[in-house]
Amino acid sequence: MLPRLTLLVGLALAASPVLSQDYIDLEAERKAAASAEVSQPAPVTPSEPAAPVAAAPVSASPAEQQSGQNLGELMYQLQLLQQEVMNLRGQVEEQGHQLRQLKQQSLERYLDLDKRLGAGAVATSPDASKVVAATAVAAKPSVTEIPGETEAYKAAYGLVRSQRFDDAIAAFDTFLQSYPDGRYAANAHYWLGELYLVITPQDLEASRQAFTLLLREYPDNSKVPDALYKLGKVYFLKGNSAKSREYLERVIAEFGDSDSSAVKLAKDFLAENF
Amino acid sequence: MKQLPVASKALSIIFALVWMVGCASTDTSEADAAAAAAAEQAAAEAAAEQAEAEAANKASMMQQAIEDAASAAGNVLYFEFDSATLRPAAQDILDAHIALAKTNGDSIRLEGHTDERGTREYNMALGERRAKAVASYMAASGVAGYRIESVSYGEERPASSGSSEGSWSQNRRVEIK
Amino acid sequence: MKQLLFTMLAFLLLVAQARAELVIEITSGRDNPTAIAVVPFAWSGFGAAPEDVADVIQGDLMRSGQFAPVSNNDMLNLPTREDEVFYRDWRTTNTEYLLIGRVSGEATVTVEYELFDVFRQTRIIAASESGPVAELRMLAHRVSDKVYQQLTGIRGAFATRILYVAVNREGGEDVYRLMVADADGVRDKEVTRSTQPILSPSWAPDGKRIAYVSFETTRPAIYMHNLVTGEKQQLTNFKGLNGAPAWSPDGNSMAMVLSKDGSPDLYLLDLASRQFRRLTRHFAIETEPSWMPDGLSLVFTSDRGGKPQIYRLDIATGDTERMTYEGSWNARASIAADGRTMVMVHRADGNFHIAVQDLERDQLSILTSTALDESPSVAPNGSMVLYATKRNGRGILAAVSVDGGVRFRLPSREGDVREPAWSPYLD
Repeated sequence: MLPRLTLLVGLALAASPVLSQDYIDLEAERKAAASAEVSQPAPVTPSEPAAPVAAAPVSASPAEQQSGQNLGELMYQLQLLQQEVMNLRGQVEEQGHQLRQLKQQSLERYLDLDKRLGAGAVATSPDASKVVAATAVAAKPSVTEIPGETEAYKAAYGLVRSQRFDDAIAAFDTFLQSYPDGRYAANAHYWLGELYLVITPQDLEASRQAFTLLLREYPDNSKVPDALYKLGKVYFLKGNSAKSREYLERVIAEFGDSDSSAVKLAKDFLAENF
Repeated sequence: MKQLPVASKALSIIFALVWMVGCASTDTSEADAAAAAAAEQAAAEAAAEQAEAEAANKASMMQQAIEDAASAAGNVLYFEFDSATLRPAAQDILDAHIALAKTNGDSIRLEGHTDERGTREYNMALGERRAKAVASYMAASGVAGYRIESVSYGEERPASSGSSEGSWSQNRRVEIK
Repeated sequence: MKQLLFTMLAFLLLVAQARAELVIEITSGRDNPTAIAVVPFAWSGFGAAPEDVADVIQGDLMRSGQFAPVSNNDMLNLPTREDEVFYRDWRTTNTEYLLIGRVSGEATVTVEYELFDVFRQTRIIAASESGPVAELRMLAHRVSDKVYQQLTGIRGAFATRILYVAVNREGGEDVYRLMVADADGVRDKEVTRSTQPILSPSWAPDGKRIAYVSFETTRPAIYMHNLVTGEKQQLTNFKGLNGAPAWSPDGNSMAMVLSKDGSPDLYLLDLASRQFRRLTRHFAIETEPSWMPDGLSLVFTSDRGGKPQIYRLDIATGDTERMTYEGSWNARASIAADGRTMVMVHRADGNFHIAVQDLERDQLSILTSTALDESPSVAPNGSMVLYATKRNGRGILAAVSVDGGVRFRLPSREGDVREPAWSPYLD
């Protein structure tokens, strides 16, 4: 008997509108407070105005109808929000990708620079690239390594790598005073030219002088295409576009068939700025 | 407003109790009391029947109106390319079907479709997203979730063959069945 | 009466067979194909030869785009053994290589063949293939494989098969047939049919079992079918989506898409224990899983970034990484056996093309120029991509080489064909 009784009570409760009535009542109360909020905020996407939910036809009680609309409206808002979050995620992914690419590019540029410099620095060792060795020898046959020069150069260059640029300038100046005709003199001039561009404030004139000196004193040095390119940039920064262009075009004209990366940089710079 | 549900709850409990007492009393031998109760019940039933008939008449007219509204609205909801967001026009159609669903206990089959552009399995998922968007809207409007079945056909069952926007817009749809 | 019915039935079956059969049209080959003469093979069996082996081989080599078979009419003589070969005759017609051979046997046949380098006047292959006479075409394809490998250095993929879905309108309703055929479209056989959609056929690495999605219960479900025994089995039948089955390289598990827990996500089914493991959990669409050759990760399509793009999932760690950034729509990726080439559907200017991405250099190139290209499937040797497209309002299959240089079409005689899947190597 007992199981049957409880079952019946259960059925009676379920059949009566009690439960849904309770629920609707609660919703109706909330609705009063919430409706103002829901209807006010601007549509999430400008292209799609929040859809006005059409007045539901017939039958449904006003409370029921409104709760349906509220939930429907919420569903709609949720959908728009999900879409918005997905679009934003897409943008974050794409920007992250671009950032990685840019980082990679600048790392490659740095490594390239480092390599070219390193090639100059190790020119003394017998297994150094023949071209560098050959040009260095051709340029200054008298050049021989002076004891202590390599260490001094490496110390100054170490300051560049640890980004102590002001100290590096002082070190290269001292280096050039001690070894004015040393094996790494051309490299030191080149680095001074670079360093005057990265210190704050920039010293464009000092940079220009350093590069020009390198070109005049060491016309066959392997750093020449880079120095030409840098001079093009320095003149551009100084506002002398005619001279800038002249140097950049010289890089291409004189070294266009070499594998110097300065050629590409010069081309890119010309394409971007002229 | 607040008292109403409480009252109706109380009423149904009383109703259930009376019914149970009725059942229990048949087990006793007090036949007189039972006969009196039966007579009383018969009278109540007759009155209820009459009210019911009136209500039924009214209800059937209402029902007819709801059915007419649903069939007039049509049973196809259309979507934008690669989107499962219900357009306002689709919501109107849907509301008519929701009103109808509330008058019966029929199960509802929602068939999601896409146009032929894009890959088949992705479109299968997109068709499902469309059907589910409709299902959630219905559920939020008070149609019990267990009555709704969503099936996606992706791009496999186009309503209009042809490779132009004219056909594609006909194919990006959810059919209510 | 009974006999009439029977003949009518037989006729209907024949018609059904002819309908789905694919016809090859070569649309573009390489600029400097190698000239090779495939001389008609001698047949020493009883009656007429069951297959023109040389013709099959010519077709294979021609379709690769790398060879220009010499027409039989241009052959000055038709040697079938080495002592009948006169190099001078072939040099005058600028033939670079010469293939001759002989077919013998009855129930079991043997194809002996010899390949000659005309200019160096040497024999470079002398070998044979044997098997049941019913598989003579397959033996011919294997000869093609050997010749292709000898002359290009790449393993041939002619002795392989393809799965595809053919759809015909019959008596007012669409009939979907899952078909299996040789890689050249010939010897097509119906695997299963339904008046409800069939899609996403996928090969097991053993080349014997396949999986596909069928709506035959009016809802999608994944089935496994053994092509050798004909045994068919329903693998999944969950509420919602059951789709995109992809067999793991070791054949022990299957990646798939289910939406039983809400939105479409990737799951891994262990075929022995029948245990499912959920691989992704996101409210966006995740679908179209495809394995990296090492079996450690999957690539898949997801629109978690607003538009479908290709992501890679490390199965052990669950880490995902987006792989495509070019274009606003990329889907259905598959990775070639070398693990370096990813083929996918890419949307450009509103049209859907087959594109290939070099995973090492991250470079994307578009291979096709038609508008509604989909379902790319890479040959096991990574040379060609088979895909579905539309031509004159009909669904057809087409193929393009991974470098875009070679193209051919495989239209069916009637109805639509779609969803091609290239088998793995079968031997």
